[in-house]
Amino acid sequence: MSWILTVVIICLLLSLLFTWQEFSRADKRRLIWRIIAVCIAVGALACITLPVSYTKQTNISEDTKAVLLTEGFNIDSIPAKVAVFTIDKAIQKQYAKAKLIGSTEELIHCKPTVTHLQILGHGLNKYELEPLSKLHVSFNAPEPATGYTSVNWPAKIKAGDIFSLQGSYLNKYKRPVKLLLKGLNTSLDSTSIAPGTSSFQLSTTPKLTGPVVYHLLALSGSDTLSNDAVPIQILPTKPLKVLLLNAAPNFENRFLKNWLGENGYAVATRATISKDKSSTEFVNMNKLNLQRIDAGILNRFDLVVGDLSTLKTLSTAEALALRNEVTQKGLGVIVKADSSSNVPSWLQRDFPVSTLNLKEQPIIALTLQGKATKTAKLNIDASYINYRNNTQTLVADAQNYGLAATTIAGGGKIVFTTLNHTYAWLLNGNLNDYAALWSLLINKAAKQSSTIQSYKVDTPVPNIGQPVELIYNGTTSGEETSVNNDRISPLQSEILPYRWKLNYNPSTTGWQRTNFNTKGEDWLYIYDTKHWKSIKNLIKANETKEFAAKSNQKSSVTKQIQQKTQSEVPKFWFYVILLLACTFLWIERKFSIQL
Amino acid sequence: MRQRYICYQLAAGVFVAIACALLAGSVSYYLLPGKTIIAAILVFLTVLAVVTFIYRPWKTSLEIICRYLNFYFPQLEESSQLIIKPADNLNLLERLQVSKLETAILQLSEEPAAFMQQLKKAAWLLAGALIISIAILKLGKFSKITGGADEVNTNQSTQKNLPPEKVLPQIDGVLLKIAPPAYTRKTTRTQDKFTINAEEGALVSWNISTNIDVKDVFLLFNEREKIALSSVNKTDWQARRIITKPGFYQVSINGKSSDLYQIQVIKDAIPVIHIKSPKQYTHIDAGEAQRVAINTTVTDDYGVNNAQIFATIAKGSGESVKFKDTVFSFNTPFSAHSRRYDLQRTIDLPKLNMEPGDELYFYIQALDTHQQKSRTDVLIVSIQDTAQLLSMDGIVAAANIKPEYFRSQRQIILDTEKLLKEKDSLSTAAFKNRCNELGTDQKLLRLRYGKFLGEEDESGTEGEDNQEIGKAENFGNAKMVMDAFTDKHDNAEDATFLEPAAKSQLKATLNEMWKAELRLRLYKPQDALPFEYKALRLLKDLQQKSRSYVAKTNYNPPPIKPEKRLSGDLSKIAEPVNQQKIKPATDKFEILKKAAVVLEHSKHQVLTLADKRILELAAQQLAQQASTQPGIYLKAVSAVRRILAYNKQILASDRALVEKAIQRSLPESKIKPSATGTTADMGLGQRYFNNLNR
Repeated sequence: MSWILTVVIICLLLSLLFTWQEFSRADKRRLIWRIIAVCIAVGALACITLPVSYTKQTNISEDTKAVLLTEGFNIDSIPAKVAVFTIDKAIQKQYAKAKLIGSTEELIHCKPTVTHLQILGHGLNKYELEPLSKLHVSFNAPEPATGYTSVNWPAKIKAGDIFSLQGSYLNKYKRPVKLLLKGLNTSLDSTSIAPGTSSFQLSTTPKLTGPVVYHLLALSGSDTLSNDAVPIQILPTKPLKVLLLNAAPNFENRFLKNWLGENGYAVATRATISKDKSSTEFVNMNKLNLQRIDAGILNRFDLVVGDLSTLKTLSTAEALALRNEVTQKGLGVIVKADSSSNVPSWLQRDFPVSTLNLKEQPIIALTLQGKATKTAKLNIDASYINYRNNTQTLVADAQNYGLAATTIAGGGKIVFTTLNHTYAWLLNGNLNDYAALWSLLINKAAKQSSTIQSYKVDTPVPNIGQPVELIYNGTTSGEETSVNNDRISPLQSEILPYRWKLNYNPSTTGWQRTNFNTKGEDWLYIYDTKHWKSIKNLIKANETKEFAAKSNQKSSVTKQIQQKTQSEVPKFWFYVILLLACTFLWIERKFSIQL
Repeated sequence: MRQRYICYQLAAGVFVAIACALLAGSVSYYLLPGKTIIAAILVFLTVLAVVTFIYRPWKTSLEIICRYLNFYFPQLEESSQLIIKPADNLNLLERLQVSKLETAILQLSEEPAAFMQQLKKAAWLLAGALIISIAILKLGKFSKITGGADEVNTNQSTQKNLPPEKVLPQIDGVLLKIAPPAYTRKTTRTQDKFTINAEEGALVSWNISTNIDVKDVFLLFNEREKIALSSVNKTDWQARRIITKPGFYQVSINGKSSDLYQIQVIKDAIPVIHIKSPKQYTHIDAGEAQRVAINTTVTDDYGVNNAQIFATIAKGSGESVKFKDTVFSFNTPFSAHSRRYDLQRTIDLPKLNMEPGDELYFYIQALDTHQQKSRTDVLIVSIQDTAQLLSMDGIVAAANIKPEYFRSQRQIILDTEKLLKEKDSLSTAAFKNRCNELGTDQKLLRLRYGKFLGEEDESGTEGEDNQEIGKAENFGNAKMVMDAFTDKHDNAEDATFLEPAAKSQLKATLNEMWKAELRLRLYKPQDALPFEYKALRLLKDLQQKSRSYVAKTNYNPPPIKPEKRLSGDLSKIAEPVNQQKIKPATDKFEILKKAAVVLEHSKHQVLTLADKRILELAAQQLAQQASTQPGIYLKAVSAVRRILAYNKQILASDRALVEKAIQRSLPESKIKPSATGTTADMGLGQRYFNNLNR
């Protein structure tokens, strides 16, 4: 205030001084004009020094609106006269007017008046959006560019399993894009994507074990459009314990026993050889008394493989023990159909078999569940399992007649098959088909192994400089949980006692050794920032869209459209006035001297 | 004018020569790489010499020129020779003509077009040659890309493509002398590179000169075998070794070893025998010439030493069969040891005492200069035994017989033979008549078989059914009318009566019958006989085919019913119990799998000591593989070494090389069954299940 007063006093004194000077001039022509000009000049000078402002009604957009630029924005779509922010250094370089801020939280501190935020580009991550919850956010997702629109693969597979990667790709080019799955720098599988969106599937059988990184390349001609990492963990298979029960020694069981034994599985077989006499064999396990089968014995096994006739002729106590083990404890049973008596059994109930009267045994190629290629030809009995509800066909012939099927029996599973001569494959040296068939049957039937722990990464594509959310199932405590030997604290779920949430801020890319429990280690892959760009952008866009929709609902309160604002008169005008007044005074003097 | 003509002639000659030289040069670019220019110049000089010698432009006399002029310029009035004649010898008329010509000659426009003609032709030739030679060069480059692998033998060209070798700094120069073994008949060659590409059994001698005096130099083969080099003056070192296996080696000077150098061995291929004739199984029918023409080619990569026919003659049948071995040689001498021989040999079977029913088995064996043998499959030639064919044994024994038909074909043969025997005693008319009758029999038989194939009946029974149609009750019976007056081509029953294979054979039989009938109708029973036999043989085969065989099946016996059987006392019989432990085979490739994981980690982190240990072991395993397949694994071995040596920065290319080699050497992982896991829910699900069941 004192400053204004000082200026006003000085200006008044100045104007008095100048007016007196004008008066004292000899030439009295145009005196009034000159005095006015002097007053105006001094007044303009005062206005230049002092802030002159006026209040007016303004639209809301001018001051409360802000724009946040994210990757993929279009310069033309930035509205004028609005504060522009960004949290990305690269964008600031590209569009220098944008103000760089450290995080979205800083935005509110930078411009407290802001209530409306428009996000341009692909959007923000969830954790970046959370600080903006008080603002009214608007977002228009940009058109998706050429790239993956979805992709999925299992994080962990067992050694020997087929690894398959599925997804869809949007190709906006005019020529097809080639997708190439590479492992250990060798091309494993490839496919071609025609222009437009199409889904794809690539598969391979990994040769390695442990944490492995494959790469998915998208090629257009000789240009590499993207090269993304596909991390998977290939786990070794754990041997099972199998009990084989037979009515008589036969080749089928002998070959099965040998094959399982060679692979390190524990096998016990019992085959009836005479009245009340049976031959027993044990591979990779200690001797047991298999004369009488009870719960104690069955408890030691994951799977029972038996002829239908043997399983039917078990004594009542034995049959009850078997049934209890299967339905209560989850033991698996593989039943091999044979020409047994017509006594109905709970094992056979869901699998009605129809036998064709053929002179010769048909020789056919089999279709295994989950396998695209057919097996080699095999001699089979012309007995087919009719389909029923609650059963799943595992092996079928070309006409889709079932040769093996499975169903759930309480906690366990029953697999029923009419294949009795699969050893013929082994005699022909065809180990692959034999292993594939029996792996399928045993996988489906075997008792579930109790898992102590499991975890999954909740963040879609974890990067450096971004918190990674992990969900862990099992028992843990803070001391044991670590990633790369950095301790992290788990947060227990309020509802499920075995579920824990973990947050980790990765500092290096690649596989990170994680340890949630003293029991074992696991791996977590941190991607390079340039991996899976298109997927990340889509996720961001979706999350931002969702967030914007929510914020729209929240701020549906009546909005003030007009507002009183004080605005400063631009100094430019006062300079002009001063200049004009001074010019008049100068010219007037020149003319008067000449005349 | 003469001068000018000669000049044109010479220029044309030069053009032709250049054209030839260009062609020769571009061709020799492939045939004799490196000597293109010499070849081109040589061809140029010879062609020039030949052309000038043929035309002899210096001998072009004025008279020839005059003749040309006369030919082309009518205003010279065929008398330009007069000008060159000495003026004193001219008579009055000639002098008048000369004076007339002198004015005409001055008015002559230019030299005649013929002068230029040859030049033009030569220029065209040159242009053509230029285009062709460019085309050859382009084409050659293309074929070089596609057929790159074929050029293993031309040692120089492959070595050009190899990247420069890294050589120890002490080495001033190296001279490798590769003496190919005698069987290749190649001369000794030398090279200044360490990478060896030698024939199996070649003697390689190293001559390494060093720029400073060194204490000891040795070669380390496949990381195991050492060969010390000997020296007189401590700067020139020598060693020699016979190369039999592929692998790699290093040069070590004063304990410092060099890069790995590859040894590739060109194996001698076994000779290849291609038989053009006869076929695998040749059947000589009755009436055909009893001889076999063997026509074959034998090729080898270095030279064929010998080729022979090993034959076995089987006489008789059943228990009284006798075998006799003989060896035939081809008429071509093999002393030249060429790479390719086209061989022919005709074996006259009666000369080997072969009779109808006998069989000749033979195979061809070839020997190359490296004494490697190769032989063909056994080929069989059999002479038809007519007695066997006519016997009824098989037909009587078989369950599925059609004796009537076979008997009639057999009967026709017997009758034909009888007719031939009686030919001399019969009159011509009677002979022709009987011949014709036989032809009719043959036709009837053919028609009978034709029915099986759904062929039309052409026996001419029209009009028989007309009576039926003519009856009043059949008036307007469309089906009947259609039946009588239409041709029924495809009868559904006929179409499915026989299998397609049997059908085609039956068709062939009918064809033979046709031919036999034709000969019989032409009164040539002698010619008809082979076709009749052939028809009978085909029919017999058809009959054999209709026999059924019991296929091998799997059989599971039904379970024993103990209540009916095994009622004896078994209390003292012990039950067999067997126990065994099968140790799962250790995974040979465990270390390679671990190495792959380590390499993946190395993209993000620095290698630890443990990681390096794994890589070292993997390097050893790869080196083992490189000793058998250096072409594939040697680069990977050097790449692992580089990774181990410079631990700070691993080159992406090195990592890629090693990863590729690992992927290549790993076997497919075995499929094994395994159990799925439950969710890690501390038994919550199980408790829930138990409570539901309660």
